[in-house]
Amino acid sequence: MKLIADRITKQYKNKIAVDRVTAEFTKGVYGLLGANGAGKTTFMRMVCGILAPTSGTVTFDGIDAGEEEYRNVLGYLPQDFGYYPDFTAWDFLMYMSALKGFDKKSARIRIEELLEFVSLSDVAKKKVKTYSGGMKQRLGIAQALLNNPKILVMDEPTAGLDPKERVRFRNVIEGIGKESIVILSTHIVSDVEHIADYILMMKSGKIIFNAPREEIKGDLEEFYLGEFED
Amino acid sequence: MKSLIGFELKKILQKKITWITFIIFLLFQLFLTCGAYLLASRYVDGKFLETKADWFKTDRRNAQNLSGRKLDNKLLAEIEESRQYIPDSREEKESYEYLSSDIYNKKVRPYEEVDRLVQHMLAGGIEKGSVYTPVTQEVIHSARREGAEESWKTYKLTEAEKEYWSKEEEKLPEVFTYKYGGAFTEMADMGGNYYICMFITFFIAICITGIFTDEHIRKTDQLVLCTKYGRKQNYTAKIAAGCIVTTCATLILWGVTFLCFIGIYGAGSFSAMLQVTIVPVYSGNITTGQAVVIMTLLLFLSSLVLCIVTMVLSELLNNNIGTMAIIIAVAFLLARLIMIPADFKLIAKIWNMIPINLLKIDEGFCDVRLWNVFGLKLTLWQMAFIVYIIIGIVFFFIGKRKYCKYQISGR
Repeated sequence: MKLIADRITKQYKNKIAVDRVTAEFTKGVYGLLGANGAGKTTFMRMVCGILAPTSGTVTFDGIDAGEEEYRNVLGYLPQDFGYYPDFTAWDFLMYMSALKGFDKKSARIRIEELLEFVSLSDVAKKKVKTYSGGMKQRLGIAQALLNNPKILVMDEPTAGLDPKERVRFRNVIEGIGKESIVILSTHIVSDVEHIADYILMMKSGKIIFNAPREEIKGDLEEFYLGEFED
Repeated sequence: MKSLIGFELKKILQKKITWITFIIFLLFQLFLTCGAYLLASRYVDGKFLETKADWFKTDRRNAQNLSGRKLDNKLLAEIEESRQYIPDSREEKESYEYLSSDIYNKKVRPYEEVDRLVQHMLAGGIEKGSVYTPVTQEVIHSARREGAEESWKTYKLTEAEKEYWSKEEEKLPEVFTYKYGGAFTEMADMGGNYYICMFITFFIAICITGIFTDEHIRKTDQLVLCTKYGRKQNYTAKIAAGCIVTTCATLILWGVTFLCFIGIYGAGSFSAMLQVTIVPVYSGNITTGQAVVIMTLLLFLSSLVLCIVTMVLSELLNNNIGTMAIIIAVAFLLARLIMIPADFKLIAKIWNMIPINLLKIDEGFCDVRLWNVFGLKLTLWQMAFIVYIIIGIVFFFIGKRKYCKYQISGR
């Protein structure tokens, strides 16, 4: 199981958002740290195949990110995304299951599990437009996990979650990371401090640090701030 | 795929605007179809004469009594005789005393509808009616032919086209048989397929443009596009859902209109010649019923194609308001407001192929300018079937290419 980003670049007119980034991902949790505007979201979109690189390739076990087979093993939670306001959480997850190729029976079983996990079982039949920001975020997490993805990409996943939910979320991600590739993008160091097996740091579209977590001695936040000092 | 189409349908039908728009157009169509029949009454000199419903019923009964008779010299003589009872002065002709008299109701009125059609045939669209007296079957034949040839000149037909239509003219009977067209005439005329086409154009512009763009506006596209079936299958599901909603809306409007017309005018005769009921100068050998079937097929096909074009355009422009404006402006306002001169033959032929023009029976549908396709001479409506299908397929694939390669950037 190997996800390879090979010299991927994204250029918008005269601005380079991601600059020749090369990285290999195997099973485990990868914490992608960087300030706002560092290129994290652009990088993750390219990993998810929803943004084509200007140059370079993203492949998973030889399958290109643009292919259906690749999307079949992908789970994605974007940073800022919308819902269908008149859908209930159940409808929304059933719809996402249909898009992910589930039959109705297995979709129902999986959705019940996930709603339980994100504590939305009680409000599953309520319209999403009545949900709070945190509830919407939990619903987003549920849809990303629907297909037990081999590649799970999450952009600022803990935004809107309360401290208790954050802890629970981290534990689940840690578990998923044992079987899958999990890439978490955040600018909150504590989100990845305890669960990330690898730390990547992005600055101005480039990866300036990529190493196993244990190589960083001491406090991650201090190390992170140190890396970003000019 | 079925499941995806189901969810796409749910998205469309959950929008209030879809229902509000459809109900408004349905009410409009009902009002146009039977408003006058149900609500109005006929007053002359300030006195109540009869309800519109009674008026319609009497005219219908009179027309049905004569239905099936040849427009030959015998019937024309009866009509001529009935005219003897019509007063000369206009005031007297339109007075309450005359219109409520037995003479009018028993001698004149039974022939009034057929007389109107005969005058229409004589006029041939060029207002020459008064020249022909007395009216005989030979006069009708030559006047109608003269009117047809006049229209060929107006359309600036080539010699080959004139030859084609001359051959078609030979297929027409020397003496037409009067048949009461009933609901078929109404469906073929302005109040039927034409108005439905107009309302469906608006319905598509308002309700279908958001199918793709809403995903981008709501930012749900990034969730959808990175799923297994989020690109090719989802594109097809969206197009299918838009087409299903459009077809259902068209079907309901069409069905309600046709049923109302049957209720008011009776089914009428399928085989009433188009030259007798609506377009005397048309040279094609076609009945009113056949024209309704063809126009209905064109209505459904054009609605589907317009639906696909609208959805694809909104995806290409990434803007539903702009698409709505383009569809309403081009497919409705400009199409009706701008008349292309006959000198610009190709443009004029293309312009008349816009559904709102094509479904106006005396303009687009009976346009006698021909298309030459691989040696085959096709009329405008025959060509429209081919062109609509090609446009639908081309736009479907353009949209598919665009959607499947859609990039989530910016934001």
